[in-house]
This record gives sequence, C-alpha cells and structure tokens, in this order.
Amino acid sequence: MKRVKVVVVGAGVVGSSTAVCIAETLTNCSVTLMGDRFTPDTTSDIAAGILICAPFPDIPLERQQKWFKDTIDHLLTIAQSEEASDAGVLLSSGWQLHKSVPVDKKPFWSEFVLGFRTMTDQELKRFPNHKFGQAFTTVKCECSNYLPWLEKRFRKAGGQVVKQKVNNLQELSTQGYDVIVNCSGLGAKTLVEDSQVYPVRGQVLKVHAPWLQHFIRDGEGQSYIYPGMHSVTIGGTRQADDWRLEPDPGDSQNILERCSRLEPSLRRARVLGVSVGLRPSRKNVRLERELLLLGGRQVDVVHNYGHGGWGVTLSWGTALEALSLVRQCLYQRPPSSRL
Amino acid sequence: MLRLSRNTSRGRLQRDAIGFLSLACSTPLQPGDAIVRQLANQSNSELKHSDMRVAVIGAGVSGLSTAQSIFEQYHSLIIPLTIEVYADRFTPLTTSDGAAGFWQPYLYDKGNVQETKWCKETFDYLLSFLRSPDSIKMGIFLQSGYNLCSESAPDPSFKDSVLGFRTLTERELELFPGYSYGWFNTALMVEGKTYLPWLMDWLRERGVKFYQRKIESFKELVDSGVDIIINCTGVRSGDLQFDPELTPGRGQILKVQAPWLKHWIITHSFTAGTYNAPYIIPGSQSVVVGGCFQIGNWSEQNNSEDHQRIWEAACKLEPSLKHAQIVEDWTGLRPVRSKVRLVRESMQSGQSKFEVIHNYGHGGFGLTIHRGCAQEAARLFGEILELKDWVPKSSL
Repeated sequence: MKRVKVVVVGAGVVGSSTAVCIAETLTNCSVTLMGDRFTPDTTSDIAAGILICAPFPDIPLERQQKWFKDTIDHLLTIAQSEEASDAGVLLSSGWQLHKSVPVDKKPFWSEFVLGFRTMTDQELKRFPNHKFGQAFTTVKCECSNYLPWLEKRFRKAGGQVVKQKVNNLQELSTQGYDVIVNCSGLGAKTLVEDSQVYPVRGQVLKVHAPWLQHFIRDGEGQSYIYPGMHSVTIGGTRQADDWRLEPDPGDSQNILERCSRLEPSLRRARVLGVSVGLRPSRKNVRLERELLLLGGRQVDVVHNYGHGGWGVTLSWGTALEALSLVRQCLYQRPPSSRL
Repeated sequence: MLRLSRNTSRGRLQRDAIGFLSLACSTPLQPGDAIVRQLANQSNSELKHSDMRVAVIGAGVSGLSTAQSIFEQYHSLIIPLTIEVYADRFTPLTTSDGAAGFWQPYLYDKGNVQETKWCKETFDYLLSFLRSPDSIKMGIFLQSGYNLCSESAPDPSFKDSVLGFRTLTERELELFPGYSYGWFNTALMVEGKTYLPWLMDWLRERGVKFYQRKIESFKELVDSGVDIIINCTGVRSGDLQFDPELTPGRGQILKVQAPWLKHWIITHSFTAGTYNAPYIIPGSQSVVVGGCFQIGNWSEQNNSEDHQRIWEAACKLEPSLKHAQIVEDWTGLRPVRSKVRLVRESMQSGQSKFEVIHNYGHGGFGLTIHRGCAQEAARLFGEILELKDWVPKSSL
C-alpha cells in the first residue's frame, strides 16, 4: 500500500510542531515540511515566546484550555530535561499588572501555569501606576532554538524538509500530496483566500539587562519585558493591518519609555537590536478539516492558522488537534484512493 | 559646629555649642537655655580628643557597610571624623565576593530573633534601592525561586521579610522529583563583586582611606593613635583575639554558564545540614552551583571530590545543567559562629584604653544581614561616644 503523502505548509512554530506530531505518530505517512521561510526568518523567531494568552471569542473555552494545557505540559517536560537549553525552553516567573482591577481576575489558563496568585500589596508597591496584579510562573520558548530543535526531531522521525513557496493548494495536489496541513499563518490570506486573516504588527527591542530575572507585562499586553537566555525582549506594538516590516524609530522610543516606567533599570540597558513581526491574526484560530477537489483529486486539507500573538503559546496543543484531524482524514479515506 | 578642642575655654565652648545646636534646632538658642548650661558644665571634664580616628579592620561586606553606617550617622556630629579601612584582602578577593550574593537567612533562627530582625532590615534597605538608578551599580536585583525539602517543615524565619512567600503547589513539586515540600518566594540578590566596589567608591568619595595590610594586633592600631576599632575580620578574627566559638564553614562552589536558568533553587536536608545539600543560584553573569558546608576545614583550595559531588547532585536536581559550561571553582570560608558577635568591648593596651566594636561571625548570611548589623554597630558606636562624653548625649 502506498504511503499517504502529507505536506505541512509553513515552517513557523505551528507548522513545525504540527509536522513533528504527525511524523512521530503517523508512521505510515510520509511527511514533508514545506515553506518559503525557515528559522531564523519566520515570524516565530521574532516572538519572545512567553506562554500567555487572550481567549478567542467564538471558540469554546474548554477547547482553548486544552490547547494551552497541552502546550505548557509539553514544554514543562522539556524545561526539566537535559534538552532544555538546546530547545530554548525555560521557566519564567513574573507579574502581570493592571491599572484597575479586572472583571475577570483569573484568565482562562490560570490553572495551567504554575503558582498563579494575586500579587500582594507589598509586591504592588514597586509598580505605583498599577492597582492589581497577578504573579505566576510560565514557560518561555525561544524559537531561534526551538525551531531547529523541532526540525531535528522531525528529521529523526523520517520527515522531509523542502524549501518552496506554495502559491496555491492546486500545486500541492499536482505534486501528489494526499493531505495538506495548512499552517501558513499570515500567508493563508492569499494561499486559501481567507479575508479574515490580517497582520497585527509587533515591534520589539532586544536589550542587554542580565540582572532582570522576571517578566513584567502590562495587563493588555501593550508593554512587556521578557528576560530570555541571551537578552531581554521588550515591547511592543499592536498595529492592526500594518504590513510594515521595517523598524519604526518612533515605536522604539515609545517602547523604551513605557518599559522603563515599569522597570527603571532598563534606562541603563544597552539596546542590542530591534525587530518586527506580523502576527498572523484572525478573529478566531482556524483549526478544522476541509475536503477539496483540487486538479481532479480529492485532497484533505487541515487548516491550522490564525493564532495571532499566541502561536508559541498554543503551538503544541493545536498541533495535537491538527494531528487528530489528519487521523480522521486517513480513517475516512476510501481504501482505493490510497493507491 | 561643635569642635572638641583640648584647650577650649568654657566660654568658647558655649559659643560653639550654641552655634551647633542652633543649626540643629529651628529656633536659635539663648545662653540661658538648659542645654547650653549642660554643655557648659561638660566642658569642665577633660576633653581627650581632637581628631577622632576610627579604624575598621576587614574590607568584606561587614567592614565596608559598617564604615558606611558610622559615616552616615556621625560625620556631621564629629568633626573631623577620620575613618580608615585596613585589610589584607579587598574586593574581588574577599569571602563576600565569592558568595553568590543571594539574600536568604538560614531556614530557622533558633531563637536568634535579633538576627532575623537585622536580616529583614537589610532586605528592606536593599529593596528601597530597586527603583533607583543606582540599583545596577550596587549589584541589586530581584530573583524568585524554590526552597525544597524532602518532608514538610515549619515556615522559615524569613517568610515575612521576602515578597510573595507561599508554599509550593503539587505541580511545582513535580518539577523536582525527590522533594515533597517547599516554598516559593521572591528575594533579592546583592552581588558582592559589584556591591563591594560600589561601597568602596561611596566611602572613598567621602574621604575614607583604605590601607592594604594585615593588622597583627589591636595594639598596633591603638599605638598609632586610633580611638575606636571596628573588628570585621570575619573568619580570621581569631588572629586578633581568640574566639572558641568561631570556626570556618568551608564552602566550594562551581561557577557555570547556564543563562536559561532564572530561578534560584535551594534544597534542604535536615540530616546533612544547612548548605550541605545542592543549591543553584543564577546571577547576573553566571550561575553559582553549590552544596558544601564543612565545619572546621580551613582549606581554601578547591577539592576535586567536592567538585564531583556538588556537580552530580546539582545535575540530578536540574537536568538542564548537563549542557552548562563550567567556568571555574571557588572556595570560601564562611565565618561560622553560634551567633553573630556584635558587641562593644573596652580594652586596654599598656596605659591606653580603647574601644572595640566586634561585628563578625555572620556564617553563610553575611550579605543577608550586613546592613542590620552595620546599623547596630553604628548604634554601639554612639553608645561609646555617649559614655566617653565625646558628644553631648542630647545631640545623639
């Protein structure tokens, strides 16, 4: 019986994670990871990679909770293993601050991070502009390490990596793929003509501040400080429909100012660099199956895109769900079409 | 200003005192005021000193911070106040430099509530600098972490001093197989290699002089005209004055590169004893890995068996360390004592009477307790001044 040919389009954190899940689990498939950009040139490489999330409005909370939990559990295991530094995964504790007491004091993922609690008055004294805060330990997953680490795992499981720009799904059908897993992020806007996809521009600075050990995040995620392995990422901006990839000096100035107010010692930090990423945003993540007729062939498509600023946070959980959708595709295929 | 001079006439002292106290008070004093009459009476007793010379022996965190506290509290009351620091070792070669710089007292103070109070005072003092631009120059920053035990234990002495103290959750304990109980909190780091140079700059700017030499006896200093000696000689205090309660607590640490670690992890074994169980303390430049506390061992040499044992235990605790690059080992002798010796002592050498303030024996918590002790030493200094009539009681 001919092996089922699966192609995962998009080699960011979602595509890479999905490819690994499929290759390691569905050993009767041949899996190809295909993209026009690979680490360190993906959007994921720009992300600080802190596991924190805002909910999607129309997806049942339980489903989103599973995505979050699956991802953080997977990363926690790596963090406590010998592979932690290779994979770029580390524990990160810190504070999320609010200028006024939020209606919902506990985000939907509060039970999945470690030690979630409200900040004490003494802790809040350090942040005179904020009235309420939450303290917890989460995970930071640095894609500049994590993506190469995933790729190694993918290849070990027999996966093939192909650098190729995909212009439309027809092409892939012509190339003989039976299942297409669409993790094209912002690219889905053109690849599958999804008008709901739009960029949310994020600019970040990397600074040298090795004395900072905690993350600090302003409630809405406008300003944040995320200490990493080799530098501290500070940000940010959330500019919807802004496609500019070049850094904006005004944004840099603004980011430094806002973050220095949260953490005054940042005024002494040397700026190492500035980057821009376009969050592949959508009202809701699209994680579903579709059966398409492409070039005379029935092709299963599993969509897994639109994670916005929560790609790293939901990567493994959505990859696992995409895997189960691919499984469903395989079980439901009539035997003849597998030849 | 009040100048204490050998040949001061009563009248001149009155005028000087009025001037000084007028500066200190909001309303000008008049010759008839009670305080002026008291000062005038005191001028009849022999005023012994023109200069006051204070010698601090020891340039670790205790010596330097005590010099600082004394300067802060007395430089405007005693003119001139000469402070000198004598030591054979200065930063970065002191015990304080090699220590990780992690603020945390031992789990339990065994009734030494005074020490707990001094530790808290130090924490609050360091915390107050966090939002200032100086914090980095002082080597101060916050870091959170885990205290782990193999069985449930009473809450530690420092639970109310630190930030966000709480017990560990089940899921957190899953991260540390072999440990079934513990606490999480946010504490401070004060890195000796940065803090000590900062203290020295602070003191130097204010005219404190430093002399590199080993002081062989208190007499040596007294003979040269020193009035008050501050003894911060740490583990080698015994060289100056025999102290049966002082003993070295040898510690060896490994400095490694593991920049992915952002939490300190301290394990506690109630059988092995404090700091004889693995600990991992990330700093701003490297990570300190330790777990060695050998009472009575004077060796300052790194030991390869200790290295092996410490490294293996730490890797078991934190598997990600396997890929950490080991930079170097360092050995230090903690100045261990049943309790800190922080007292003043009147001594005599030949015909000379002199005062010594002892401030040593801080074990493995010197950085943790330094400010509280320095302030207490300064208070003892004030007691000496009062007793010797070197400054009128009312102006203290």
